[in-house]
Parts: sequence; C-alpha cells; structure tokens
Amino acid sequence: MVLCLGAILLLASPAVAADNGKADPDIKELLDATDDLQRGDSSMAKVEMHIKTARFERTVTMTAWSEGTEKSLMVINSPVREKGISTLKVGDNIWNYLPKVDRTMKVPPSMMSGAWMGSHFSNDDLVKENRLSEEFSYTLTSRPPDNPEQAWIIELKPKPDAPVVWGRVVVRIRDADRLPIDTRFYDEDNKLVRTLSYSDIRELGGRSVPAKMRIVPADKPGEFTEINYQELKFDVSIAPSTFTLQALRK
Amino acid sequence: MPIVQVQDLTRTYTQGALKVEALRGVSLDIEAGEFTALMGPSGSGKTTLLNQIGALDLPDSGSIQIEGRELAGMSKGELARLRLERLGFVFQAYNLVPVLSAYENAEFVLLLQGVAPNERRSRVMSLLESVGLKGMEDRRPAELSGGQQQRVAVARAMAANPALVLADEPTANLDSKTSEELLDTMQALNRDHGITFLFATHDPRVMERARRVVTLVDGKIDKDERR
Amino acid sequence: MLRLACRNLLRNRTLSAICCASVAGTLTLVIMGNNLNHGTYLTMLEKGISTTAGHVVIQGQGWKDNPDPLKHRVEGATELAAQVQGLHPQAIVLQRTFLGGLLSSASNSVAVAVQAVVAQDERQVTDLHEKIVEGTWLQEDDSRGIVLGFELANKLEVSVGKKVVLMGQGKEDVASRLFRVRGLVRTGAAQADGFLAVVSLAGAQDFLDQPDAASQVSLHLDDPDSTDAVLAAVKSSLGNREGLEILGWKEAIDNLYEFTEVDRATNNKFMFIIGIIGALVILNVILMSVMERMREFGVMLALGMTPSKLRRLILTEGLVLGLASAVLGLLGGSAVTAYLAHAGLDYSGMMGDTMEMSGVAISTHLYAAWDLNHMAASTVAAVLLSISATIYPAWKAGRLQPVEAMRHV
Repeated sequence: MVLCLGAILLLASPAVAADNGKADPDIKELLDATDDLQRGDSSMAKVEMHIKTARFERTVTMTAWSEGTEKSLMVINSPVREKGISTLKVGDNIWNYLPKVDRTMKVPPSMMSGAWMGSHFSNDDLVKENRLSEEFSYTLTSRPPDNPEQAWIIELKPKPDAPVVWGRVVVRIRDADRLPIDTRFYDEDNKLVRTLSYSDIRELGGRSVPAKMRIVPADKPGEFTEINYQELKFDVSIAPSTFTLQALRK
Repeated sequence: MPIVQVQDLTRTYTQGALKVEALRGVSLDIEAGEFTALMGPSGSGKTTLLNQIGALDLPDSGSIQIEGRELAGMSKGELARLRLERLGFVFQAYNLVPVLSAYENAEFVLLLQGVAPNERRSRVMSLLESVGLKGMEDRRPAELSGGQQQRVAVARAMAANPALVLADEPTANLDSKTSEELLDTMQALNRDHGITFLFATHDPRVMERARRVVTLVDGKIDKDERR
Repeated sequence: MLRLACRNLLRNRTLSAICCASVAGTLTLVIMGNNLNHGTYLTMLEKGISTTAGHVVIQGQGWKDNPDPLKHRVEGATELAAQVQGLHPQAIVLQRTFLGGLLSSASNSVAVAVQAVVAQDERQVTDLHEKIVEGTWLQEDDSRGIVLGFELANKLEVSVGKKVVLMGQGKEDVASRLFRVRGLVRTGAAQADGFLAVVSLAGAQDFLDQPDAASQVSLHLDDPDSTDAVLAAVKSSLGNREGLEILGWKEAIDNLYEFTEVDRATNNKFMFIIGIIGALVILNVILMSVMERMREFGVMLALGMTPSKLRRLILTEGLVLGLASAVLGLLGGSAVTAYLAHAGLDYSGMMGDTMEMSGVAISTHLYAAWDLNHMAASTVAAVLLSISATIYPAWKAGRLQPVEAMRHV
C-alpha cells in the first residue's frame, strides 16, 4: 500500500515462535506480516492528509490505487486548487502530473528532497519502503509484560553499509491486537528525529487497521502530518493500464 | 633694370561691410642700391604697398615685377619661394622666434633653404658681426635689448642675399638712441655692401637718412623726392 | 626642426608638463588596470581549469553538452590515463567523475553536486584538501568517505563521522549508497560550500555501477601555453578510440573563458574612450599653444616657410609630446605592475578571504600579471592618439595667412 511511506506499517497477523519459555513471536514474521498485509494484492484507498507546519495548515484528500509495493497511483481530489494533480510510482521511478499546465514530469532522484506535497513525508519515503527489511537487522528489546504499553518493542539497526540515514528505528507493537503503536526514528547520535504514531483502530476493507497515522518531527513538536483512511478496500481489480503515464493524465 | 617695377596697382579690402581702397593706382620703380622710405599717415597705404612689393599679398589690378618676374598670377607657394629666396624682412616687432638663439634666428632662412651647415655658420657669423652683435650669437631674444633684436632681424633679412630688404616701421618700438644705431647699421650695409632697403615708416630719422622719400596719401603717390 | 619643436614644447613647461602627465597618467592607469585584471583572469582560469577540467580533457563524447554520467563516460579510464601519462610524463593526469544526486541525513535532504576523484592524486592539482576546516581529506582507497562543504553539512545537520546517504539515478533504477563524513571544507564560494560533496572515484564507480569508468581524464600542464601542442599530441595518440571527445581548456571551460574575454573587451572599450578623452586634452593644449604663437607663425610664413613645413613642425611637437608621455606612462605602468605582481592588492579586510567570481572561488588578495601584448598596444595607441590630436591644430596653422597672422593680437 503506497502509504507505507517509509514507515514500517506494522499490522501484524498472529505469528508465534516460542523462545525462552515465553511465547515470543518471530520478529521477522511480525515485521514481514505487516508488509504482507499491504502486499501482493491490490488496494484502493480514500485518504485525507492533514498537514500542520509553522507556516501553514492544510488538508488534502486523495484517492490512491496500488498493486503490490511496486505500483501506485495517487490522485488529489481536494482542495480545488490541486485537484487532479497525480503521482505515479512504478518501481523506484516517480512521475507527477499537473493538470493545470497539462505536464507530466519525472521526478529525478535529486528532486526527491524534502516534503512530498508539503508534508513531513519525503518522496524518498515513497520509494524506499520495500527495501527496509533487507537493510535492517532487528532485536527484541522489551516484551509486553515489561513495559507499560504491553507492547513488543523491536529495535532495528541498519546493516553496515546499508544506505539508511537512521541510527536506529524502534517499533512498538501492541500485544493485544498485534497492531503498531508507533515507530521512532533516531539519528546516529541517538537523538529522536521523528515519531510515527498509529491510532483510531477500525474495520476497513475487512481488516482491523489503524485509520490514523501521524508523523511528528521531534524538533518541531507543534508540526505534524496526519493521514486518515476514510475508505480502504483490498483485492480490488485494477486495470494494469492504470499504472501508466497515459493513465496519469486522465 | 629696376629691381621692383610697380604699375598701376590697386588693392581694396573689405572690413565687414566697409570697403577700404588702400591703393588706388600706384606706380613705382625701385633700383638696386636704393635707401628709400615710403611715408604717409596711417591709412595712406604705405604698409599695403610694402606688403605688395614684399609678395605677401597680391594686387586686385595692376602689376608688380620683382627682378623682372610678374607676381600677379603666382600661386601662394611660388610667392613663398620668392620671399624665401629673394626678399628680406624686418618687421616692427616680434621678428624673432623666442625659443631660438640669435644665431638660430639669423640662420632660419638659410635652414629653410637647405643650405649646408658649414656655409650657414660662416655666413651667419659674419652677418652677426656686421650688425655689431659679435659674441652674442647664443643669446635668446629675451636676453637682448630691443635694438639688438632688430639687428638680429636685419642680419636674418640679409642672410639669403636678397634683392631687397623690406623694413616695416623697424624703429617704431625703439628709443631714439637705439633707433639711430640701428639706422646707422642699415645705412652702413647699404653703403658698404650695396644692399637695397625699402622702408615704410613715419619716423623722421629714417626720412633724414633716406635718399628717396615717396609720400603716399589716400592710396596714391603724392610726392617722390630724391636727394 | 626637431630642435625647434622640442624647444617649443619646453617653452611653456607647466602646460607641457600637465599634458604629458595626464597622458602618461592615463596610460599608467590603463596598464595597471589591465594587468591587474589580467592577473585576476589568469587566477580564475587556473582555478576553473584545475578544479573542473584540465588543460587538456578527455571525456565521453557528448559530455560537454550533456554532463550525464549515465550517458557519457570514458570507459577503461585507468588504462587510458596511464597511456596518456606515459606519453606526457611531465603532466599530471587525473581521473574524475561528476554527478548530481540527493544527499540525505536523518534531518534533511539536499540536492548536491558530487565530485568523485582519486583523492591523493587530486592533491597535486587542487587545493581543496588545504581548505579542510574539520576532519580530514579523503584517504587513498576510501570508497565510503565523503567530504562536504561546511554549509552543506550544516544544512544536513551532520558532522565528521556521521552517515549520509547519496541517492541518484542509476542504470536501471534509483541508486543509493551510504557514505561517512570524513571532513568539511570551507572554500568561500557559496556554490561549493553549500552544495559540493567529494567522494572517491571508487565510491562513485560502485554507486553508478560503472567499474573503471570516469567522466573525465584530465591533463594538467606546467606551461599552459603548451596546451595546443599537447592537445594535438593526445588527439593523435587516441585517434583510433571511439566515443571520446578531446578538448583543450578553452573549450572545456568555455563559459569561464568567454566571461574573461567579454570582460576584457568591455574594459578595452572603456580604455579606448579614456584614450579619446586623453587625446582631447592634448588637442586642447596644442591648439592653445598654436593660437598663442600666431604672430610668430605669421613671421615664419612671411619669411618664406611653406605651410606644409609649418604643419610638420606642429605635428612633430605632437609626436614628441606623445612619445614622451607614452614612454613615461609605460614606465609608470610597468613600475606599478611590478609592485602589484609582487605585493598584490589585499581586499581581505573588505571581503573576507575568498570571493566568488563567475562560479569560481579565488583569493581576495589580487595580483597583477604582465599582459605584454596589451601593454605594447596601449602604448602605441597612446602615441597614435597624441599624433591624431595634433592634426587639427596643425591643419589650422597651415591655413594661416602671414599678414593677418602677424596682426593677430
């Protein structure tokens, strides 16, 4: 699902591997399972994104289709000024289409800096998610009984030479529903840089998922970008031609 | 044959809207060896006549002949050559080039003629001596008295062995003693070397010494007295 | 004649001196200004040549017009470099790759210009390694090291030892690679300090998946004047290889070169105008002296001097004045140039240590260089202008009539 957006969206399905007499889940399965939930099949979502920064506050709604993690298409529905702007991702390539000037632009890697659509997510987040599990090694640092949130706390460290900017990433998964609470990203000096938190667990598309995701930069706590799933459907049939440049323009 | 033959010369100037008839039919002959003065009040035409004879200006009508050569019809260049080779001039003032020495001023004409340096030297030195300026050849005009300057002019005027030396009011800026000295010099040159002098002047001292006095009034010859 | 001319000039010493001084002074300024500019141009060009090119460069065909490392590169760069070095043992031969990409840290991302170099060879040609303000320069064979402009490091909020990820267009898809900051540089040029990252050639080759390829193999010569000869030699020795463009520096950094040439031309225009003004000064002075001497000229003409001789006299005065002024001006200009070539002009108090001109960072301590051709041309021009300024006064003198001139008050 396109809105993995660099965060490890951890929607677990139960997977258990016994260890130390306590029912420790297999970490890798925990992590992979979340990916799986997003993967393989196609999905469609209607999403509202709310961005608050020191300079502005705005809300954008969009519809997104995706097939696996390789292909996705997002079209903005509101506000009117940006209606029709769409982004197509195929593999590592991203294109933007601006209806006002009727232009399709490939987003070169050098333009993937900073915010996507002014949010706290980067184009980079859009592209990179599927490689994360290859690039990290993970350890369990706390079990549910040992922490107040009753969560599985997993620490991910980038493998040496992995092209990852983080020093470490800490994921907390609630034992009760195996849904993620939050993900924290730290730099090499162990300073918290940003936090991605999940809330509003609902039934969407036949699954129990957090409908709200909020990313907060640690140095600017007043700012955030929040994503609200209004609709989410899995296994929808999408014509393959949807993920083409021609389709982008429609 | 006379050196200068003037026949029925007229010359009129236009000054603004005014027409001045400076010469109205003048005829005159001058022989070699004369010591002659042209007299007359201002505006009588004496300077104009002198300029005509001196090939500095051309008549409107009539003829002038210098050594038999008719001036009317000559080009400016030919007139200049005539002046350079056959005539000598002594003006009332500002004769000399201030940055040149007496020697250099005197040789000026010879330089223009392209005479060789040795020849120039001997001639100029003897000329300066004959005007009484021996030993002063390296002085600049500023270092010479008025009379001495005029003598240098005389030496220069004679340098090229001219047919005629024309002197326009040469004593006008000099005191009486210096005038006498200058005129004595010129008279001596006329007497001893046969140099022909023609003056335009008011100065009575010149008239005393002149053997012929031609008086002009209103552009015409009034009297022509010889003594 | 000549004597007369000189004496005439000396007659009014003050005026002649003023005339001479103003022409000489102008020529001195012109020479000084040009030589100072010349020195600055040479410095700029040398900077441009050494940092982004060479006196002779060998690049993938089409690189100059489209510097895309994916499309244009020199294959087998190492062997090519060795071959060229063998033929030109006196030259310094470098291999470099230039690319653009996105450099990200935990805090931020910046689009950067990356230079991939053979770190220790590079030290022989550029002085970037001397501008390290923190950390160290890249070591030999450090394929994970990166050196950043200090401003860039600030933006990314990283310091020496921290990691950054470079992302860029790879062969098939997006390439990304981890680097660790080894050092920070401060050049004084905003471009470099804010957007330059230096990595080892090996690192870039891994990143682009282009083993043994480089954007450019460059030759750096002791004597820039030998460029054309070396260029011809390189071209002929590599003639059979396809897909290469071999350029001399004038073409390789043509933007910078053009900038200096255009600047020169503009300055020359100004200098010409100044020259005209100088000529007018002389015209004025000589005309005045001619007017003053009208009576004297009248006498000379009366005595039989021809107008043409008189004109020649005045022209000679102009020529002597012009020559004297020109020689003085040349000597003065040379003296000032000698001083400035040695001590230079130090603007660092005003502008800091380095300044940026046309994208190149140079020291604010400017030195003059000897632009002999220009000096000769300026001097000749000064003499010619002097002579031409005398033409009108001479012509006027030639038209004098002796009688009227003598009457002139």
